[in-house]
Amino acid sequence: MKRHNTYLISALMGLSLMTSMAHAGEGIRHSGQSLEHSAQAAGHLSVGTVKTASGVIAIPLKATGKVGELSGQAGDDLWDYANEPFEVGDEVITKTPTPDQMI
Amino acid sequence: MKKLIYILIFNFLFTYFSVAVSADSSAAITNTYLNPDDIAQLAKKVERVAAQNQAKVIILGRVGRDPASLPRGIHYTHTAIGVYSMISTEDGGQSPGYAIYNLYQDSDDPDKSYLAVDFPFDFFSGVQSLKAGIIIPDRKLQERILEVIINKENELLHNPRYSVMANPNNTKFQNCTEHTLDIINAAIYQTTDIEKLKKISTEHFEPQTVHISGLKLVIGSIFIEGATTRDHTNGIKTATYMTIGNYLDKFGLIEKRIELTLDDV
Repeated sequence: MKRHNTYLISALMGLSLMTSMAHAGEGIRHSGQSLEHSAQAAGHLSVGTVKTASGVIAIPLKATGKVGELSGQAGDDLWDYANEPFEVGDEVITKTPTPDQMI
Repeated sequence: MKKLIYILIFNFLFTYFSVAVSADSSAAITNTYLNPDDIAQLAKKVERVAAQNQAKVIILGRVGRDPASLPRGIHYTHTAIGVYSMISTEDGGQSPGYAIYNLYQDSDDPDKSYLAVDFPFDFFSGVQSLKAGIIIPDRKLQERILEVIINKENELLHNPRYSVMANPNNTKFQNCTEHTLDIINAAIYQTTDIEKLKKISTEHFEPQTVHISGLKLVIGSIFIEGATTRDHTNGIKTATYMTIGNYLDKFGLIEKRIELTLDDV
C-alpha cells in the first residue's frame, strides 16, 4: 500500500510538472511542427496564389560576387536597385505541397 | 496514520503545482490555429516591410504559444534568419521573396534538432498570435550574415543536441535562438570556431533569465524530452529574440526593430 501511494504521488507530481513545464517550455519552445501546420493551412487558403517551392528552392540574391553567378541576371538586377524597395512576389510560397496538390 | 500523511502530502503537492500551472497561464494549451488567410497576410506583410526597407537579411520572431502562457520576459517563441532570395517554384516560375533559415526541434526525437529552409507562410503557420518581430541588422552586418549563409557556415554552427532552454554560453545544447546568435556572432567576428564564439557570447551577450521554480526545472527536465537544464549553473538563462535585439542594439548594429501585427498598415 505504501509503495502504491508513493507511486501515485510521484506520478501525479510528474504529471503536474509536465503540464507546467510544457507551458513554460512551450513558451520558449521552437515548434518543429511548422511545416505540417503550413501544409494544412495552405490547403485552406482562400486568398492569393499558393505555390510550392521546388528543387534548389531559394538562392540568396546578389550580395557577393560568388552569388551573382548562381542568381543570374534577373536576380542581380533586382538586387542592384539599391535605392528602391525590393520586389516581393504576390504568391504565397510554401515548402510543402498542399493536400490538393498531392491528389 | 501513514495513509493520512500521504494524502496530506499529495494534496499539498497537487495544490502547489496546480497553482503553479494556472499562474503560468490563464488559458489552457489549445490547438486552435488562426485563420490561414490571416497568417498568409501577416507573412506577406512581413516580406513587404522587409523589402521596403531594402533588407537583404532580417531576424524574425514568431509567437508559437498563447502569449498569456509565456514565462515572464519571453515574448517570442521561435527565432530565425530571413534572406532576400529568388525562389524557384514547382511550376517553373521564380518569385522574389524571403527564405527563412531555421533550426527546428525534431518532433519525433525532441532531444534533437535539424536545419530547414522554409518561407514566411510556413514560418508563421501554427502561430498563436498574429504578431511578428522583425530585426533589420545594419547594412554591414546584413552582408556578413549573408556571407555566413551563402558559405553554409550556418551548417557548421549547428549542434543537433537540442534543449528548449539551452545555455547560449556553452556548446552542450542548442536551440533556434542560440543558433541564430551563433550565426550573428560568426558574422561579426568572422569565425566559426565555436569555442571562440561562446567566449564572445559570455563576454558581450546578456541572455534572458527564465523564471521557473528550481524544483519544477529539475523534475521537469527528467520528464520532458528536449528540456534539460544540465548545461546551466546558477539559474536558467537562455537566448531569446528580444535579447538578440538588445544585444545588437547595445552595439549599434541595428538599422530597425519592428513589431508587426495584422492591423498595422
